[in-house]
Amino acid sequence: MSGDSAFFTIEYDQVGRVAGQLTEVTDALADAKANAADLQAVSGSNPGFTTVDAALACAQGWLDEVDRLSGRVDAARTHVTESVTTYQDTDAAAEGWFRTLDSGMEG
Amino acid sequence: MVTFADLRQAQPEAYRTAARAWTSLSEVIGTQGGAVTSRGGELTAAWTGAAADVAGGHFTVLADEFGAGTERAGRIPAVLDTHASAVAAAKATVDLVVAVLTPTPVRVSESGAVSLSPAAYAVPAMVPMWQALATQAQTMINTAVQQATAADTAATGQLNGLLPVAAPAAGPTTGAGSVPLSQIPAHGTDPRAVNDWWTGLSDEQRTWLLENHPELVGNLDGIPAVDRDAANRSVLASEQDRLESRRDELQGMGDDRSDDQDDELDNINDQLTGIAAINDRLADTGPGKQQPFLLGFDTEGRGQAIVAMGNPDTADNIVTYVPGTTTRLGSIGGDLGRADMMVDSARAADPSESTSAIVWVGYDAPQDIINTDLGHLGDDATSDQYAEAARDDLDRFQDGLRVTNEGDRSHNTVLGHSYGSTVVGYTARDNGLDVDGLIFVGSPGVGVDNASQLGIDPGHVWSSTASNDPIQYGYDFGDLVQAGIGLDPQVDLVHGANPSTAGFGGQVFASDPGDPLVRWTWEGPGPFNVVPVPHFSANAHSQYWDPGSASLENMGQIITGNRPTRN
Repeated sequence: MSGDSAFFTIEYDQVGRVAGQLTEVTDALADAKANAADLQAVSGSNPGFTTVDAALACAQGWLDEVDRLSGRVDAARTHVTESVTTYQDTDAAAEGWFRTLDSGMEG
Repeated sequence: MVTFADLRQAQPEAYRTAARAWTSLSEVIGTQGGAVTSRGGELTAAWTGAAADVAGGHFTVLADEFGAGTERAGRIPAVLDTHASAVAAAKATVDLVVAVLTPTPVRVSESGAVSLSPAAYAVPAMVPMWQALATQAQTMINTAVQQATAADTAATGQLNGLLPVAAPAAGPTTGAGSVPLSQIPAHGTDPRAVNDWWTGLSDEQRTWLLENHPELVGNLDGIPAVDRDAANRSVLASEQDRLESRRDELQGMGDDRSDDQDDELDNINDQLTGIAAINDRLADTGPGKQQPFLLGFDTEGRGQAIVAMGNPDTADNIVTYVPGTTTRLGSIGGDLGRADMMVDSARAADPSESTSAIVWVGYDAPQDIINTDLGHLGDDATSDQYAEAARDDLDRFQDGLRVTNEGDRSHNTVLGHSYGSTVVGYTARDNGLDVDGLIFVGSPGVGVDNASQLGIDPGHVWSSTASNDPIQYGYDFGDLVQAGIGLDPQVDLVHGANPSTAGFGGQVFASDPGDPLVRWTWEGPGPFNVVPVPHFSANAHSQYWDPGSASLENMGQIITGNRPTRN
């Protein structure tokens, strides 16, 4: 199926599939976080070295950054999905209006 | 500060374990950034229109954020590995000292203080020997602790500088003058936006950034030269400390160094040579010398640096000099001298105006004319990959000069030598350069067939090639033979038409011939010197800045907006 006008074109199925594939990105980021325990391997070691605190701050900062990026990807997925739905709903509604007109129920 | 006890307990392997995890994480971010780029491409292939344009733009921004994350997080493993090596070396020293002293009457306290036990005095004749041993041991312990502390300080600073820009740094991020790091523009941001942000900060905030995060602001185009200089001098000093510490560590390994570590040591020594040259010039503010400004500095890879002779923000004329093949941080010393020569030449051309000459080693240049290493064939000056990679940075740097220059519009030129001319040409052709003139010397081609394709009036495209410069014969032996029998220089060079020929459509200015391309001598056999032997020389390719030369004088005229005077 597709939508088409002078202002836009959209392949519903393909755009919907792209949105769905974005979950692979967020899943991979979640796996990376889950397997990132060694980022904090310096925890509890090397007392007296300020590098330990800096490395742990770095680890926390980047794990948060991974969350942020993942959230951004997920938000993009949501909006693309909603866009497809909106286009389809509008398309269906317009089709319904004109079928109604053709049936003589109005006008 | 690291103590002796800290060093004895140190576990450098923990840093290496973390480094491996960082490598994995940065690879995942990079891979998924690639996936976001692919999905964005698929999206815009199946969806067009205003909403699709905005959505596609969002995917581009998102992919850029992943890319920035990959680059930034990808630098952390090297910091941790380097630190682990430094700690391991220092720990090995103190462990060795303790082990050597254990069977002797020389004792080491828990705090690292070395002293003689009562048993040392049992044989009076032995006391001087024990005292000498104690002194030596104390020196070794103190040195190792100092080296560990220096490595700790350097690595901490580097890690703080590699936090994601949205996260707060460890240390003083709040209080008077602090600036959220998420507000600092990313590398590549439009210089106008950078300048708006910078000038919108309070004096206190700018000072805080220069003192606490110079590495995040020193290389941003759009920040005034005085502030960039302050930031980069600070970064240079800390990087010099780090490199010297690492050099000492690698040298201490002697024959135990791996091939990779030998390469690392060579690169560090090379970079320290460049740093020494910059330091010498920064300190040289004697009469007649332009004040230098360190506008860019980075030790990544072979290292980059941007140095201005004279403040470009207040100068009437600005020339940005882009050197060519073999350029890197370690080679910058000679280029600094050339910049000084151009300032002097510009002064002579127009004493009423001020000129700033900038050495722009802001790109990764080819290091070989021809690379015959089977694993790196084509990674040399015959490739345009280095010019293509430099375009955005050179273009943005020029835009930044316009943004920060005060007063009337300055007369800006960009001068490329050898492969540097290729970089300038590619940038002008593909990005457009906001300049008043282009100057090419000793060019192997600038990526176009005609001056009109460079985006500025061909009347302001200047080029010169010394008659003895072998660059104009490309890499073709047949061309050399033709030159030897007096035929015209080749028109089509390895990177495009020769810009120093009339058919190119630009302006050609004179250079001196330079040292002869071929010099003949009569040699053997035996006592009979009857065999003619040719000696080839490429000296003419590097003599454009020779004192008193026609090329140097003409460059000064063009830089000041005048026409060349020497023929």
